[in-house]
Amino acid sequence: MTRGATALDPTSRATTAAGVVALCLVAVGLYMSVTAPAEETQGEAARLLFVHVPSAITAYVALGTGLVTAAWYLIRRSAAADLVSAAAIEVGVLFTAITLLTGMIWGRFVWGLWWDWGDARMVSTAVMFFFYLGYLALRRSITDHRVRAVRCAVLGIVGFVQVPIVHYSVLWFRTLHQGPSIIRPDLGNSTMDAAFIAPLGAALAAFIAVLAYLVAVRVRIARLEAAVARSTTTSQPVGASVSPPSGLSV
Amino acid sequence: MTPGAFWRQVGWVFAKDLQVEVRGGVTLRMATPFAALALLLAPLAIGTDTALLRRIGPGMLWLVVILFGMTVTLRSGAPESGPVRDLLTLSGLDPAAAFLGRSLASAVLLFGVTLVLAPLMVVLYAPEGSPGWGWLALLAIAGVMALGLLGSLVATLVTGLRERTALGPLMAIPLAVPVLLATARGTDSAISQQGSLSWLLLLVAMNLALVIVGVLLAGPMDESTR
Repeated sequence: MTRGATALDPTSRATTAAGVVALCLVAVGLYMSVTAPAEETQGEAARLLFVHVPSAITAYVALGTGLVTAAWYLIRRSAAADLVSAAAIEVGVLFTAITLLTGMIWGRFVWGLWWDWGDARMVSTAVMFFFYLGYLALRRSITDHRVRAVRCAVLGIVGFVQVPIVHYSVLWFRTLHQGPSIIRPDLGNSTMDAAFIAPLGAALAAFIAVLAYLVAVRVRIARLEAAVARSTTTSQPVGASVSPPSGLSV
Repeated sequence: MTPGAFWRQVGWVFAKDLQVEVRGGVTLRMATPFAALALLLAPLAIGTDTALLRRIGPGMLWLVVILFGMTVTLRSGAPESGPVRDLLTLSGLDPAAAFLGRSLASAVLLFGVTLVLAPLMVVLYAPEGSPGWGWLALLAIAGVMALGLLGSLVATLVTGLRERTALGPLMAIPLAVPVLLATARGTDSAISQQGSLSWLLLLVAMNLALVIVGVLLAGPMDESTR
């Protein structure tokens, strides 16, 4: 494999190492979540929070990364920043979907409802999810990479306003959802029992590692896609392996 | 550019867009009757329980204004194309002035739509209590201004795309949710003779944020439409 091809290979050593680290952290997080004591009032359903809460925080981190790299693109016009921004937002949408799904399942067990319109965080998360689906649709609709990068950077910056709305909705509105227990507005200590903090921390570390791995893979895939697009627009009809028949002057 | 020259440019774009609407009349002749029809048909779909209709009237009004208004702003707030665009670029039009001019024109059109729909909502849904018209007017002005700014911003992002009619609302309507909440809850408060100051302040803050973001990003957005 040539040096250029290695750089575009999604199974490069750094990405593979990141994947192995993520896998190990997922195993540790899973073990600690399963062996944590059952919650007094919610019982086994509380274990869902070891997926729900880290996926929500990871979605914030991913969309925040999308915001910072989008701004970086507009300032420096760095193609890499555009790729990272798009990859982070795409993975952020995945984690937002996981947050919504696990929240609905947990709600069914604990509140007896799949969906509650009185839960401001649930509703605002769904709104945010649809907005970012729009972002992904915009990205797929534009073929010119320069135009796509600028417009998506603008949308990535404007749309980030949804994240604080989702997070603080539980404080701004009367809602069924509990208030923030970890990222508290008064910067106070967590209100969570110590027995749950360690597994939650391990699960969060695992989710963040998975996020980093998925973003790295997505960026590499985007680079490969760009390389394929470039190769199809070059003047060479088939490839470098084709040469004119001997004896013919070209 | 001096502030005077900047605002003159805003005025030019604003007047041009309104003149286009006066000549075409799409908002008045098509979008407004269509929105009024939606207000008329909703009770048939959800039931004609008078008490229920009284409760949902303010929410229905603003939902219809946002859904139908967004189609108006996404059309009127889109940047010019072809020779008109070239002429404006050659005349040294500031992208931020163009953005504000288009947003103001869209807001005026939406205010027109709201002026028709608000009395219709009062007649059809007969909300309890007598509306505080002063609060309603302030909420309507702040609400349509926010929708105008939002519509122009998103219209620029989908300019020239084949999928713009589906993409525009998909991106703009989630961003308009705070406007829906503030105007609908504010109207509710105004009708029950309570003040709507907190909702009005939310709309003013949203307008300020959108003006700042729109003016700062107008340059890159304009560049992406060339």
